Amino acid sequence: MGQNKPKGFVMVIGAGIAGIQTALSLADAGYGVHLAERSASMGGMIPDLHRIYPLCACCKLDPRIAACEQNPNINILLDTCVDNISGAAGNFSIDLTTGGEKKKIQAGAVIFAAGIETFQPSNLDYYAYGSTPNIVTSVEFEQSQKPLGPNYGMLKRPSDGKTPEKIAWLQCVGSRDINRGDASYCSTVCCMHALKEAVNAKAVNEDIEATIFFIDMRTHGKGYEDYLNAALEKGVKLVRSKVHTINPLPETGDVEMTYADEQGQMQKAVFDMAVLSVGLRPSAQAIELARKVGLRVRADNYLETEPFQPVSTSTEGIFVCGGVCGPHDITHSLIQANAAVAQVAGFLEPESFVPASETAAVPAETQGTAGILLAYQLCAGMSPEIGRLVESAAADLSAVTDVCRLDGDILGGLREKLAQVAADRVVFASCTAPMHKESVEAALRLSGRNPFMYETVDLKLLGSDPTLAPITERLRIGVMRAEFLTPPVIHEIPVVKHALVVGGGVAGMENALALSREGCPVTLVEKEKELGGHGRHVRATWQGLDAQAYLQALIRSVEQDDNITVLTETGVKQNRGYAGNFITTVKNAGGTQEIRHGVTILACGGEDRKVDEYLYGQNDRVYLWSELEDKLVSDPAVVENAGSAVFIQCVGSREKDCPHCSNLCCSFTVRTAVDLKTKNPDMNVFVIYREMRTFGLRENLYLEARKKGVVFIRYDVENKPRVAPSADGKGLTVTVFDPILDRMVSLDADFLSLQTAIRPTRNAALADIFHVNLDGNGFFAPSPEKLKPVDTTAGGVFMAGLAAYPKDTVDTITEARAAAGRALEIIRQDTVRIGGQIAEVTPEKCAVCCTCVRTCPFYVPFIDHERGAAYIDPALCQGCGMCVAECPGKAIVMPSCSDGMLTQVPAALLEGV
Amino acid sequence: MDEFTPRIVAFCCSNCAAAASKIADGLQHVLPENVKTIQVPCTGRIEVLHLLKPFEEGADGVYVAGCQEDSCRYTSGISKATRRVAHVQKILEEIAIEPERIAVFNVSAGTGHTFSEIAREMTRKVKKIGPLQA
Repeated sequence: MGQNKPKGFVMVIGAGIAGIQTALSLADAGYGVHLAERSASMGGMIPDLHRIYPLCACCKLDPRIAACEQNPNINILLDTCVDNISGAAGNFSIDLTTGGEKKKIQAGAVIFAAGIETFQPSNLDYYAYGSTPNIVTSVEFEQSQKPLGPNYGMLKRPSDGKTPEKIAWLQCVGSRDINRGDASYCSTVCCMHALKEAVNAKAVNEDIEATIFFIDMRTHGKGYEDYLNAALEKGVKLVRSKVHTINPLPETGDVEMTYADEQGQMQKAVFDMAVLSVGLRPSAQAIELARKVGLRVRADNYLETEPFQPVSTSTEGIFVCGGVCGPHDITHSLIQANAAVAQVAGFLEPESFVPASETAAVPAETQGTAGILLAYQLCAGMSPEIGRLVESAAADLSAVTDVCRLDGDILGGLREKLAQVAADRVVFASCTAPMHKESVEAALRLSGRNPFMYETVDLKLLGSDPTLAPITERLRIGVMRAEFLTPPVIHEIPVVKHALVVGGGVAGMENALALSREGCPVTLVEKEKELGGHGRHVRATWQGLDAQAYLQALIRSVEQDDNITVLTETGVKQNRGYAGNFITTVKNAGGTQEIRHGVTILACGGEDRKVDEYLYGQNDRVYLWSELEDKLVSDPAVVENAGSAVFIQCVGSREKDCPHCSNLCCSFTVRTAVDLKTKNPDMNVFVIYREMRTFGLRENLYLEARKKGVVFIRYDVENKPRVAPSADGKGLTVTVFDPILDRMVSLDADFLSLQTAIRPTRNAALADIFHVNLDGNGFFAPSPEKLKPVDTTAGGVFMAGLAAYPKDTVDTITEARAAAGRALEIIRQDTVRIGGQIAEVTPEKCAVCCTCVRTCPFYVPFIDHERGAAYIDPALCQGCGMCVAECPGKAIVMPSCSDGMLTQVPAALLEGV
Repeated sequence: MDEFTPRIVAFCCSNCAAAASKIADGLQHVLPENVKTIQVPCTGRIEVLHLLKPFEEGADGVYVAGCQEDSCRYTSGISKATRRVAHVQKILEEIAIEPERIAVFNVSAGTGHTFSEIAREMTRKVKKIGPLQA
């Protein structure tokens, strides 16, 4: 859409989850993508995992891999090593070795998505890894938990196969360890990883004693703290400690842990086996390549990104996402992947491997059954015998009018066949047939038929020696189901190429600019007088970057952008429509106005909670952290010249009434403490905390703070610090129990900063208006489709910034751009298709009982009083059929899964048995 | 005399059960022939009548294979199905049919083994109960 941009393909290095996601998104946007993977298979780390927090999501990887394999715009290069990159943005030349051969490839942009490796603990002799099979790494343990693994999901001790009764997890192996682990940083993912393994172990057998030895429990992500609380409730034990040694006990096969508890007392405990939670390292080969091509690499070997450009490397046109630029979890890697796609789109016009696809024809109305075409496809691994059996089974099915075999190109082959036959519906048989739905639908549409007149038949689970009977039977079901189909009404609606962004903070503005760079006009609605949001209260990012200078530049860019219309002091009143075509009513002093838009981005922000603890509101030396930041921006001398400062963490946070962790408060505190100590080394700075959650590379800042003499004191929520005015009335006295000294200590403070919970400001009201769900903590809930972290529960509505979950400025920028990347996937389409495999209300039968309204998990049905019946918007219906099942009047029907089909097909199936 | 092979109808969620059976295929498991599967977009679509009808048509057992409770992309589909299966068990009991002839299973894509395994397990269970006498 943009002008004067170079045109080109994109090279993606690494086919883990981040690489796969970028390749798919780029290919959908029309780019030809070369996807290079060093190993022989795609998926990176994910296939080794049993469950992805918090859910089973493995089923989301296989379809993505299949989608890559089928996409004509993705060229998958397995067993491929990238040797060198030369040239410049818009025109890179890439040297590869693929399958032992040297090759040269041209691309306009490069994305490093090479991912991570795990730390090898063999050289840490005090943990005895390798000396007994009963000490395993967290990766090995998870593999043994897999239901498809060697133990079929049953837990067995490696040495003797006995069911372990006591398992110990040991955190920070190869992380937060500058002596032998040679990594000062925190690997971010291991606390959740250990919790997940412990919870899953207890799910197999709740009598298993699962104990995690840890320094700080870092569950700082969206929903992570809830997972921690649930784990504790399930009986997972946590021991705050520093493990000294693990000794194998050869007589029993057990292992003995020697550790120092919080008071520094040496303790011993015996377990059946021990799991080492190993840290992350960036892919060594990728870093070697990065160095060779001159990208800046950090001292800890991660790729360095540019200030306020979280997915940009030091070379223009080369971007990065996933574990190669820092220890990130899957969610963050996916967000970065989407952001990288938006960045590529910002400067490069797509060049495709294939000619642009034709626009879809409007499907013709069909009456009666004009015949059934049975199309089948055999994958490479399938016995050719299956093909012969399918043909012979089809000959016995009278409803089948035509049969054809497809090879490779499903869309093209099917379309060609449909041009020759009269059949109006298709039965498609293949291995994992549901994965080919899109191709089948496209073939039907492009041949002038209703795209939903098909059924799929799976040719799986036939074994190595297939026989005719099961194949005949499956085809018979498919054909019967196809006969029950009635063509649903389909409409093609043009996409409104305009975006509505709610919220003019950092997230909203970054999002608007990313959309505008791609030529999409944006209306940015802000409730306050000025742009900036919570960003106005941020002095510096945890990396130490000047946040105010950045914010001012950002506001200028937005105000000068002709593509962005800013409406300040404006509220959102009402919204209707669906992805591709929304109408939103906004209101300000000038009156109300209707905005038509194709996508919505909710970036309505959050703020730190006000509390009535610790003399807040009663003593002017007690600040909320946003107030302290304001002071440091406007009048720093008062704060910087103080003799003594106290920071209290987790105020009104991680407690019953507000259980989530606000993610960035620990990093804020260590950043501020380091800066205060740098300005005024004589200042006494105390940090009173519950868990120090300086995850990832932020850990280095924590180390720096300790080195500079900042004093850290841990407290438990049952034993909170107490604050009182000091005896001389000039300052404050903070009293707290120090667990290391094992006694109460009293601290003088010239000022006190309270790091309170960050909570969303207007999510509840906006969730109602935009028909999206909230999570248990009031943030916007992610899409139930999983692995779509910036999608809300409603199609075409995306989220970014504090309204999605607390996060720092740089992570907010990443997320805002990711949301823009996702939104552009809709904006780039010319039309959206409405209708299809959905539920419909028969108004004459509807008794207006509201059962469907209450049943729908997506809040789609509503009572249309003019019709006097419930109405299900075909654009919003997700097609689960729950309302069809619940409707007491049988007023709701689902043509693709009708009652007739569900009652008569089983009957027919049972006939021949 | 021929050994009794129960006739079983399985309603499967097309989201997770389909992905799970793919993995099972990789392991060369074979779905037993006596189990007839019908895919539904979501197990929440299945009504009490749909679950009873196969018994009338001569099935010896019926089961629903859906997502793990926390992994349903339609949020509450499998919990609704679970409730309905429990209700059908009560109905069966009232008309003097063994309630164990109907069951619900939670599969997931990570547990391909279970997909063919539950088909066998159900077959074993119903075999023990014996044929359903009309």
